[in-house]
Formats: sequence, structure tokens, C-alpha cells
Amino acid sequence: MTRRTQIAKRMREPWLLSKLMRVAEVLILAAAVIALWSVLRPGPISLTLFMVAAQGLIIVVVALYVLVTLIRFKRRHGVSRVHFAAGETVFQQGDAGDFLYIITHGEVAVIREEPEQGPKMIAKLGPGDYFGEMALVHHAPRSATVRTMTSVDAVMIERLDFTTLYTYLPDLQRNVDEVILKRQTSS
Amino acid sequence: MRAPWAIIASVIVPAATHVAAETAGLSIKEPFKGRGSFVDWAEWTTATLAILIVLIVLFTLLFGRRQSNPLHINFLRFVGLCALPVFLLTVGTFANFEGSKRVEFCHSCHTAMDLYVDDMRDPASNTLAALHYKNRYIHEEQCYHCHADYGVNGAIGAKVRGLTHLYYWVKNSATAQGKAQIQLYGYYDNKLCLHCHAGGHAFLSVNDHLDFQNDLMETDAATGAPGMSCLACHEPAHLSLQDKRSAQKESP
Repeated sequence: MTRRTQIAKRMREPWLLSKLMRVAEVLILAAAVIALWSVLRPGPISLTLFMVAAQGLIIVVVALYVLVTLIRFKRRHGVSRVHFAAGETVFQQGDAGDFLYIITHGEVAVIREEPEQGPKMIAKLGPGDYFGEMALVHHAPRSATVRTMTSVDAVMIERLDFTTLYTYLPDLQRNVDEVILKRQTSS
Repeated sequence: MRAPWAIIASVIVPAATHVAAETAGLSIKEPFKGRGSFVDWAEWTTATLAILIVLIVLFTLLFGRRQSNPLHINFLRFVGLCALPVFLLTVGTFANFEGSKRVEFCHSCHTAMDLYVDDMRDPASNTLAALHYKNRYIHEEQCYHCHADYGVNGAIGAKVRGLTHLYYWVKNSATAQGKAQIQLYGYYDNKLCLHCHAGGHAFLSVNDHLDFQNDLMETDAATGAPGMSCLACHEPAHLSLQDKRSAQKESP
């Protein structure tokens, strides 16, 4: 994986943030167990542990949660560039829809996975095409898997921003609806 | 998503039933025990919150990545990592602070406190602690009522001293082991007695109380010693270690 891809991956899935969230989850487990112990077995040690350790952990966890959520919120808004290496999966069929992608360079394959039939390539998209709109418009899981055929550069737009554009720009809305209809008919 | 809610319900319902059963019961010997005081409810709420947090966080840790809809997981994370912990912090602090006033809490340092708590609960004993306990002059938190000065500073002072007791307990000192007599930090403040007794008919009907009222009320500014201690006439407050040893020698 190239450094550019690594950076791009971190842009899409904030590795550090998800790890911080995991740390917060483990810390709060410890705090909850201490709190439970302190009321079920009250005593000087459990009291001191609650007052020092559990309270400290809870304050740290809540602060961490608020910080991570704020950063995520800030990151998840707006338009950003992203790069994928050849053969990478952009998203899987059934994933939650969070971004719309507009290809600026490279090609991707749209693959539908039907039960009992296996994966089937239903479209090939290139520069200027966009994908991921169906899940955002219909508030549904991804209807297909998208995998890169070459290295791909794209612009990704977050769900809320796309919804704003889609709602207030009638021409864009018409275009997206036509594309969705065409894709649904062809598949 | 149904399984975790079923698990949560299976924990909450028995807990709530247990609380209801506890509070509904009436004991003639201990009529106020478990009668739904604020501390009881705070303790049960703390326990329930802690269990809920554990269940929610375990769910997000184990199944968070497999969920197709991140909104559910984000909501559960908000509940498990932010909303419930804030409640746990406040309710748990209240429960722990108030719970530490109970006799059972003081008695949790068994070796050090057995002497005093056993004597206090002994109906045959005539120490001040036992008299107050068996006549229900103090309904609950008997240790705390007589050993924490009134006002915020007094309460905080008692808590800070409690931490030093923890130090002695962990250090396994002779007093913590019950081998040496525990001594007061300073003079016993008459205000702790007068707070309840002064002004009462029984108290005022004793002429000595009126004759020595100035001595009882005044305190030496330098040493903190009262002009005359209540304990000068109303000894002993507790059984001493020496008394206990001699009683043990005398008993066959």
C-alpha cells in the first residue's frame, strides 16, 4: 500500500479516532466495574478507588468522547479528495451509505452480489462519473460493491452536504434521479 | 439489535423487583433499614447504571464493526460513553459519599472497629454509644453523627481523616489490627453533644448543666479544649481495649 493510499485511507476511516474510541470503551468498562464494586461492597478501598480511579476515568472518557465526536463531526463535513490503489474496495454491498464519490481519474467496477449467483459486474465507471448516490438518496444500505480497476482519484462528498445540494439544486436533483433510474433499470 | 435490549431488560427488571421487595419489607427490629432512603436509591441506581454501561459498551466493542447502520452504534456509544457515565459520576459520588457515613462502612475495617461497633450494638452495655444506639437517639449513621463536626468544613475534615484511616489500615498498623487503643485526634468537641441535647427539657432539668453552662459552651482558642468536657461526667463513650481485655479475662 502506497503512502498516498495510507493517507487516503486515514482520511476515510480515522484510524486514530476509532482507536481512541476503543480506549474510551475499555476505560469506561473499568470505571463501571469499580462503581459497581463500590456500591455492592462498600469499604475504604472500594470508596477510594471510586473517588480517585472511577471518577478520573469517567471524566477522561467523557472528555475523550466529546473530543473524538467533535473531530469526527468536523472531518465528516465538506468535500475532500481521496485516492484508492488498484483493486481496492471502496465500499461493500450492504454497508451504510456515508459518502458520494465523483471519479476524477481512473476506473471502478460496480459489482452486484446476488444470492446463489455470486458477484456480477453490472457497470464500469470512469472520470466524470459518480457513484454512491443511491444509498444517500434512498437512506438505504449500499446496493452494490464498488472496487477500483486502476488507481483512482476521486472527490468525496459527505451525506449531509450532498443532501443539502440535492435538496436545493433542482438541476442536480433531476440529474441524480435520472442516473438512479437508469442504473436501476439497467441492473 | 433485539438481543442487547432483551439482556438489558433482563437485568433491570429483576433489579427493580429486588428494590421494590426491599423497600416494601418492614422489620420491627430495624424499621428504617432499606426503606428507600436517598442513599439506598442512589446505590441501586449506581449499580443499574454501571451494569447498563458494561452491557452497552461490551455490545459496541464486540458488534460495533458488524453493524450496517452506524447511527445505531453512534447512539449506543453516546449513551454508553457520555450520557450514562455523567449520571454514574454524579449518582455514584453521592452514593459513595453518603454510604460512607453508615455504621457498616466504618465497621468494614473489622479488626479496628469490632470493639466499638460490637459494644454499641450490645443491649447490655451502658457506654454512651450503646445508650444512644439502643434508645434510638440517633436513627442511623451513628458513628458519623458523633465523629464529624457540623458544617461543610467538619464533614470534609471527617472525610480527609477517613483517608488517613485508610492509610493506617493498608499499613496494617497496631490500631488497625485492633491491638492498640485508638485515640482521638484532639479534644472531643462539646458542640457535637450540645447540637442535639442543648435546649432539650431533659438536659435543662439537670441543674449541673445550667451551673456549668459557660464551661460547657466555651472552648480554649489555643488548644481547642472545652472548659468542661461532657465526657467528664458521662463516661465512657466507648468500651476501651483494656476494658475488653479485662472482661475477657474475667469471663470463664
